[in-house]
Amino acid sequence: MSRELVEIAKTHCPNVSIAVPDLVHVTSVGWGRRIVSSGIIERRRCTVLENELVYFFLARPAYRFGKGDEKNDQLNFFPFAIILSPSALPAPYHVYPFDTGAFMAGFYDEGCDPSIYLDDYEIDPDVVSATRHLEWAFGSVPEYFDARLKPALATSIPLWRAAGQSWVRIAGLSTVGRGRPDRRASAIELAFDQSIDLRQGHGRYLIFPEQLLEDPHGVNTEFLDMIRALDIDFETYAWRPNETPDSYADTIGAIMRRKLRSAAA
Amino acid sequence: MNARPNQDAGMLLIAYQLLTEHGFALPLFAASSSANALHAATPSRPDDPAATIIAFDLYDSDAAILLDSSLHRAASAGDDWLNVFLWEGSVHVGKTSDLWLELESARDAIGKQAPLTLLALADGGDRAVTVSCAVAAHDWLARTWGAERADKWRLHSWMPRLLVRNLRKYFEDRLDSRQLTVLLKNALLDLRQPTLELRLPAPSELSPDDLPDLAAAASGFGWHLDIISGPAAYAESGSVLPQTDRVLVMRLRHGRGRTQTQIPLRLIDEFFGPDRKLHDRVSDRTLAMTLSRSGERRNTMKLQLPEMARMADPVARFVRGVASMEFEVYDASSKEGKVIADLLEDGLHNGTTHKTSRGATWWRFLPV
Repeated sequence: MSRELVEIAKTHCPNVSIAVPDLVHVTSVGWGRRIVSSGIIERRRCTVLENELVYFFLARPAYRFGKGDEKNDQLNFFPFAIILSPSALPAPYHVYPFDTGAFMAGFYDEGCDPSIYLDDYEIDPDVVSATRHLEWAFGSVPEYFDARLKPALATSIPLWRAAGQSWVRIAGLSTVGRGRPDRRASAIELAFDQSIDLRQGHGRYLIFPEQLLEDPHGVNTEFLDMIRALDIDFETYAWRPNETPDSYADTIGAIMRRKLRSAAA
Repeated sequence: MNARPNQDAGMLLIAYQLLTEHGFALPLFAASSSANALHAATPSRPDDPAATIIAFDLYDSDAAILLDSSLHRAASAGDDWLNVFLWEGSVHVGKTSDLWLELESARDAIGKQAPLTLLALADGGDRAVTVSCAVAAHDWLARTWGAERADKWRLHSWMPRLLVRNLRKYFEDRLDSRQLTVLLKNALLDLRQPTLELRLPAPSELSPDDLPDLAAAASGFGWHLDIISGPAAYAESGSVLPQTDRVLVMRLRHGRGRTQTQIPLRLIDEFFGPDRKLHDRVSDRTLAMTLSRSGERRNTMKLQLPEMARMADPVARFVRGVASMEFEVYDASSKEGKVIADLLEDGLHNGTTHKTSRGATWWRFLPV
């Protein structure tokens, strides 16, 4: 099946020159602790696509709000990020150039063409296609990370390419210039229909509150033992009750940006 | 989340949600002890121990734990921040300074078993005590997770937090929110023993005395805090220069009275973003763009430029810096204007110059 966004990206970017970036799964501290303790990111029922899936975003810690099984505010106040290497993962079930849950919930209605269905935005279900989309639309991983679309991207797409034009408008909702950018609007979503076993070496690093490193009552022992067993890197942030959800998002973004910079150096 | 409609009305601290089974928890408030909607408080400055409560937002959780009624506390917007702290099965509530005193007999045990939590408890009190707790936490991390991990925590987690807190307080009345966001995002700490270097993207008169928590922390670990600001900060460090500068050149169309021009909305989305104030490099004045609406829809973005009336063919250069939007406008017949006009003309040949549908307004983005 020919996909419009894939065709556009291939026209402008026939050869992918950047390495496939890492995948990011942001969840709440409660779920994150359970995931690491078990070593598996399990599939959950997706009410949008009515399938059991595990969701990631390519290289960007965009949150999902009020979707899935988690309570919205637990995630916003207690974020836990799991960053995975894309190598050796199974092929994705689907790839979309934004958060499908937010799309279906109407968060992008301001930008999207109502005559275009969700399926019309789909990208080929492989990480290379996802990376090509990133390179075509943003140019580089740092630009994508900060949701900075290439200047005048819309003018490079023929007007009759309605899905492409509509996607650029949706993606514009994530740009840093907006008052309250919605980073999900251009975060490339990858869903897998298999649980992901962190014990297979997929885990790159974790980001969680530093308080989880302490274990005065023995309740964190399983979690800490698994981190050692997985030999996975981690970064911590200082969770404080007088923080705001935006600050936590900024902190996790800053950690990942620093990681990107040091990887590029 | 939705803010509670009447922020002036008093609330009651009645519940909390756990991060871990010890230390600080998220305090949750309600309109009364029997209310069925919970709220989280919003601080005046995030992560500042001196912050006050400025609002209450609805909080949706089925993991909230109700406090015993003897621990309920009244709270209103404008009040000092209220905490919930757990240790050895006991729940403590109160302001940070009160908790430090209340937990005096438990502090030794907290320090041994949970030194990061003791540091959080000390935060905002005596700076010397806070720094000594940080040194102890660093030592504990080094013993438990290795020296490299401990150093990373110190330089990448604890000190940046103090930096952000101090910068926020210093610049809150000096920069608008976007400028502050850009500054915080691009401020870098770099350790070159025995100097802790702070690199800031924009020129600044900031001194270590303006960053008291960070300066005390650096001193506590035997370092000297040095502040390097402006482009040199990044040139010297070998770090990646913040990629926030962009240049836009435009041919402007005369609008009403020949003193007004319209900026295409797609450029507002792609380049200007929320910036409405523009600093004129030529006259050193600051102008504001104005958005007109048609109902809920954006209509046009207008910019008043009286000098355009005297220009036959006005062209402009806009530069988005890390903390400001600058511009200059000239007639295309002038020496400076010809440079811009030539750039636009060149872009027509390679497809990088774009025009509005009637061709009156041209623009081209330039690599920095």
